[in-house]
Amino acid sequence: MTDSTTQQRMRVSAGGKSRPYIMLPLDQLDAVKRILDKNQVSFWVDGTAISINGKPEVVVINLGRGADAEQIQKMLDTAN
Amino acid sequence: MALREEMESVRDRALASLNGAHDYFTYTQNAWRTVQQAVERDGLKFSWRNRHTNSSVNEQDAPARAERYVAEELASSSLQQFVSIFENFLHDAFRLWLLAHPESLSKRQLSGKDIFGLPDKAAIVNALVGKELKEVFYDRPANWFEYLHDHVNTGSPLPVEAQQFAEIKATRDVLVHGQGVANAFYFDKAGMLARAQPGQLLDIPETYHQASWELICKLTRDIGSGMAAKA
Repeated sequence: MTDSTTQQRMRVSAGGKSRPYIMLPLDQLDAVKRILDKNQVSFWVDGTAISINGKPEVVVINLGRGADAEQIQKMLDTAN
Repeated sequence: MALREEMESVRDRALASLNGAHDYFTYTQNAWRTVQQAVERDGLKFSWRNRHTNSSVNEQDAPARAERYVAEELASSSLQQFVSIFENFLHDAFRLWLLAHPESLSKRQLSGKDIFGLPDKAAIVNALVGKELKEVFYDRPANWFEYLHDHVNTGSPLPVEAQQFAEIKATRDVLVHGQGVANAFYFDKAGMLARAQPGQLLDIPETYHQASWELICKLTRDIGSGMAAKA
């Protein structure tokens, strides 16, 4: 999956203490949530979206402690 | 000030504190997310150093640190704050009620030593109230609510809300005393609503954090308004 704002691959970032997360444009949130739900991945989404310098709003999906970042990255890579 | 107004004032102060604690959570989260976003998407570079511990953070460390601070430590500390605000509110509300209705303490006793150190009857009643509340709040939340029901029936909390609060308080106890790891005490206090088995780490997802804040605000409003109405 491509990040609609940066036009780069959507990335699962490694958080501290094995807490991976995905930072993505708000308009792609529903699509990514569908992928995670379909694959039974637990997650929660920040209650706020942030826009810097007037750019599109960005939101964070928290994947929780011990989530398998590599596996989730593969799910995003194979999704369109 | 009349008891009713005092009760409303205690309720409103607690609600303002709960809003303040939620704002602290939200805006601190946003500050970290802004840094994260600026680093990951805009290439911000920086270096911070804590001169006291000599630790340092730069743009490479910040995103992972931000995730841990937001998802773990900030959520944990603000949840503890919500519970403390509610506990203080309930303590203050009970205190006001008992000072206005001291006859319910007629079977309480103070030692001669305690009494000789006090200047007048008002101070003795105050000491009796303090002794009573120390025992009430040493006990589990179910007993706090039973005590409330016995003294003034506000119709709040509903049984399901009392159970939900008991689980939140048990989570708070695990965060404060158990390094975030659920133990047998947690399992016992949380009952059917336990979110982890003994030995497992307790996460504070934002959905849970938000639901806890909403429940605590509701209990504060309902109990505070109910006690004020019966004052």
